[in-house]
This record gives sequence, C-alpha cells and structure tokens, in this order.
Amino acid sequence: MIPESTQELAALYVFDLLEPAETGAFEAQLERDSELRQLVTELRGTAADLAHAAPLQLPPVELEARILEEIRAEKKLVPFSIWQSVVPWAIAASLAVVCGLLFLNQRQLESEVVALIERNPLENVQAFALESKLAEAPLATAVVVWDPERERGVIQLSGVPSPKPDEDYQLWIIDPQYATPVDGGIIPIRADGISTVSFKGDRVITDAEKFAMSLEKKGGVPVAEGPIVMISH
Amino acid sequence: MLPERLDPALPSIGEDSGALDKRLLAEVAAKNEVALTQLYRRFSAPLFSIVYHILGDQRDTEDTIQETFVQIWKRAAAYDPNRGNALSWAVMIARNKAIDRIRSRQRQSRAQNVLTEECAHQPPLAAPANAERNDERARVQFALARLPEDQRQALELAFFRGLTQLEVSTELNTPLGTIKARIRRGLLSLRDFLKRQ
Repeated sequence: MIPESTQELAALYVFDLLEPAETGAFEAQLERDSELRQLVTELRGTAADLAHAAPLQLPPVELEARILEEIRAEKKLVPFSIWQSVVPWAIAASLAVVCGLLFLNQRQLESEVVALIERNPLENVQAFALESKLAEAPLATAVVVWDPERERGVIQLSGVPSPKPDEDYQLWIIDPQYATPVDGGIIPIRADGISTVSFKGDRVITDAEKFAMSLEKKGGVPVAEGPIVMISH
Repeated sequence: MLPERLDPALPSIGEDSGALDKRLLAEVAAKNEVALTQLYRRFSAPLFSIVYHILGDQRDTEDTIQETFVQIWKRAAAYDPNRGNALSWAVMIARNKAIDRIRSRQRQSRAQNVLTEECAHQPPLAAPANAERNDERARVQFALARLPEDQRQALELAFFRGLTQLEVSTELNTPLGTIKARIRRGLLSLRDFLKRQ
C-alpha cells in the first residue's frame, strides 16, 4: 500500500507541480518502487484523459503542411555524428561522477542530475561543454546537461571567478527558432568558483543548439548585452 | 520497419486503436513521414483542443501544436509504452509546452510591468449535457462532473492553467496542504471512475 503522502507526490508529479529537487528525489524513489511506477503510469493516463474535457477545437487544415515542411527542413540539417551521440553522454556521465565527488552537500541537485541522466536513454540526454572566454580564468569550465523532453537542464561550473557586486552571470540557450538567445536565468557563483544550478528557458525550447553565459548587470537582462564569458561549440 | 509505400495507418487484423498508435509512433521513430501524417490526423484534434483550452489564442495554439509534433518527430524513440499509451504521452508533451508558453508570457509581462489576466476569458470545462462529441469525451466529462467541486477546481487550475501548488492555494484561498490533498483525491477518484466504466 502506497502511503497517502507518496500518492500525493505522485499526483503532483504527473502534473509537473513538484520543485526540481523534489522531482529528482521522487524519480529516485520511482526507480526503486515498481508499485509506485504503476501508480504514476495510471495517474499519467488519467491526467492525459483530462484533455477530453476541453471543448473540441479543430486545427486549421494548413497546419499539417506547416509541420511536414518543418520536419523536412530538419532532415536537411547536419547528419548525426559519433561526436554528438557518444561524447556528450560521456560528459554527462562524468558530470554525475564529478557531482558525487565535489558536491556532497548538494544531494538534491546531485539526485536531480543523476535522475535526469538515468531517466533518459542514451540518445535523449544532451551534454555541452562550455569553453572559457575569460582572460583571467582561461581554464574555467562549465558543463550543461540538457533534457530536451522536459526542456530543462543543469549547469555545473568550476574555476569561474565571482562577478563584481553589481554584476551577475546569466545563462543563455541558443535555439535557432528564435532571433535572440533565450534567457536561462542568473547563475550564482560560490566563493570557491564552483556552482551547480538547475535551469529552464523562459521560452519553449525546441532545439537547444548551444549554451552561452554572459556577464550582465545585477539581476540580469531580458536580452544579452554584456560580454560572452563561456560558450559551447 | 514498414516501407513508406505501405500505409502504416491501416490497422492489422485485430489491432486496437492503442496498438495502432504505438505502431505509428515506432514508425515515426524510424523517420517515416507517412506515419507522422497519420499520427497527426489521429491526435491533432484532441491535442489542439487541450492546447486551445489552455492558451485561449489561435495563433499560439497552432505554434504550440507545431512544436509538439516536431518534438514527437524528434523524440518518438523516447516513448516508453510501459509508461502509458501514445496519446497520453503526446497530450502531456502538448500540455507542458502550452503551460511553458503561459509561464513565458507571464514572465515577459512582469518584465514589462504589464498587468495581465491569463486565461480569465476561458470557458469552463464543458458540462456533460453538451458533450456528446464522442464516447471518450463524454466519459471523461461525466467522470469529472461526479467529482466534488473543490477537487474539480483544483485539478482544472493545476492541469489547464499550469498554476503551481502555491498559486492554486492562493487562487482558491485554501491552505497548501488541502490543495495537495484535493489534487490527490481528485485524480485518484477520476482514475477509479474511468477504470470502472
């Protein structure tokens, strides 16, 4: 019998109402508990059934052609390479290990990263290594693990100097569908230069092509203005 | 994988609707455009309905549905039949994209210091009396109508408006713990009712 408190978490989980850290912890529990997995599967189906309660609306006939046009355009893009498939996974796996070693006091974030990686089959997790453009910290590193299905990610930085008191580092997601980078939020840096932060774009992300971090005025900006300090390739 | 010249939307003998959806999704994962077209024709009406109900805007709904099917095209291989049927999977993708769009609108509005009343104009969930579009629609609406009003309200705010637990609590002027319990009870009751039918 699943306790009511756990049933409650399951109901909130299928509605995506748990905080990121709660989600990570709950997914770790899901991995271990088959009865709970069954409940979540059922509740997910029930939640999806709610769609039938919405008044019927039909899409315009031209929408089908628009979708096909977009996926045909996608097909013409660069073919999938071994670099894209294997190396990011290796980076993601390394990140999980590094998280375990360096951030023992950040168990919730660790579990979130690990759950994010474990939940996804190999081809569904993307990882990006960001290169430093900081003259004073050329060896600074950042790795982003991105879950395209849930459109959220985790960034881990090390060796990044603290910004001035009136500045903040801000993360940007480059999605080709938008003319400007999508705001991924402020990235706080600990005194030791190491940070692990979960984030989500402020717009729908269909294709996270690159990630970049810029130095902006305190509190961040809606459109990037400051210098790029880290960027992926 | 079926060759593209065959119509993957044709069910095999004895194949039910769920099995057909699953097979189409497998074909989509193998980058079969014909299968995607057939899946679109099967799923687009329910997905468009829910997204329109959430967003209340035709253009945004079209864009969200387009993003949803592009994601289905890219991520069909990630679909796990053990975690629910194909339509449920697609519904949750579409719903999450619509909710993200609402949150994005809200964030942009806050940035511009403009007051908005998101979705205030939306019609309530249709009552069972005018909901005979199809069996499934009628069945779910009938089940919803049997829920206590407070549970139905909590489910609607959480599912269709994508409010956080705290926002639902504020909106209904009800303690957070009570809201969590209402969502749990409402969803479990709905599941049990739909199972019995």
